[in-house]
Amino acid sequence: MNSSLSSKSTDDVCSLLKSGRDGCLVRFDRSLYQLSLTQGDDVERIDLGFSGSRVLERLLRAPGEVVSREELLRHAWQDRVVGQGSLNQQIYTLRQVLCDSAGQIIQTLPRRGYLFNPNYLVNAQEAQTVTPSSSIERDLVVHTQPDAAVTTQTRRSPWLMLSVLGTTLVLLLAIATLAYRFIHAPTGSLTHTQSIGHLEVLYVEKSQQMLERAIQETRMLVSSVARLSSHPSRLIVNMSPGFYELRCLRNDGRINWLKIHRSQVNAISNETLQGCLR
Amino acid sequence: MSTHSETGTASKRMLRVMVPTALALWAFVAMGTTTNYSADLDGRYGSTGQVLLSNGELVQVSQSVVFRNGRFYSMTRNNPAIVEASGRIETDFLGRAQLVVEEGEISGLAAASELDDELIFNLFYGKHKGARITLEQVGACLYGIETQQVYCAEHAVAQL
Repeated sequence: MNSSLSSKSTDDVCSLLKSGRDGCLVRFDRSLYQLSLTQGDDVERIDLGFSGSRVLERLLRAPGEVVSREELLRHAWQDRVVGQGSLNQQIYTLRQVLCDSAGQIIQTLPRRGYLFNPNYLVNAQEAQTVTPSSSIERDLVVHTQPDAAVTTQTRRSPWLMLSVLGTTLVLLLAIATLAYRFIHAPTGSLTHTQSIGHLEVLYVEKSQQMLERAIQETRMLVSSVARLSSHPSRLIVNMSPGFYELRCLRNDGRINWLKIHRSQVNAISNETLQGCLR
Repeated sequence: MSTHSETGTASKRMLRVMVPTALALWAFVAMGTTTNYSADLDGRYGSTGQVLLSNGELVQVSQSVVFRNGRFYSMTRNNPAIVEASGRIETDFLGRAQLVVEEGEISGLAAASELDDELIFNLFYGKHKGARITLEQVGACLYGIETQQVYCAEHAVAQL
């Protein structure tokens, strides 16, 4: 017998039912809000959700007795305000799952409520006939102290909590990684554009202080380049350790570059500068 | 009523949202750390320039690099020294393209070289196994931040 039928029922609610399909037994596990449909070796688990599970639980608490719609609404939705349609939907769903298209298992009594047909409860003898496994018998244990049982015994699913915990950790790690990337994303360099005659100069530095220093220290140099520019030209200026770098952008997209040691920044010949502009 | 059972259902619902979210986030993170930019970079790049040394001497420098199938092969001629290096292209944790040197060799660098220390440092840096050179876009060219090298694609069009 499948392990799904091996857990104990924990209250006065009969947990083993017959469905409208021949040879198909249904075990109601209200702690998981779940129905397990067993036919032969095949087990199909269907989640009823909280409200659906509570509706079935209330009906099974008094098989053969009419339970009013108000009582079912109160039991399944507790303090929540829901319409009659919600209960209709849950009844419809339960009938679908139990293969109760004719409304024989969950019967409707107009203007009174619903009842669960006790003929569809499985007694111990029937269970042994259908499934000789001893595990099924354990499902038929009926307790007589409903409230105490309901509150003291619940089925725990540690794998689920571990999954949630693991996924939460993975999620947090991903968020932290993204945050790290965002925080440490390369900040754009500071730039300053200046036009001198035909020359358009773009200064690029990491900080405002370095930018101002570069502009100041290369003022004469840039002026010299501007004087030599006979046609519109573009120049990028930045500092590197020990040197100033000039990049003259050519019309074909390439770059002529010139590195000038800082000690030579005001001593460079016009011929060398013209080589960059060429 | 068992509150634990309610938690179980809530946990399942949470998992249905969290698992795809976590997978999507990690896919996003992985894209930034493992994306191979070689397809975008493939081609030949280079530049020539001049360096005015502290002693007033003007030195011609040429730099060439080829990117192909996630690898690079580079040569820097900094008269009289020549540095050749090869390695792979990666992206750093911040998603920038990086050249990771696997093999490098320097030749022609005499002990009495007149090259300034900063230039020699750059040459040595670019040949050491494991050295990383981060590439930054400058106009239509690439700029090696650590070695201050400029590489322009031969078909590049400059844009400021």
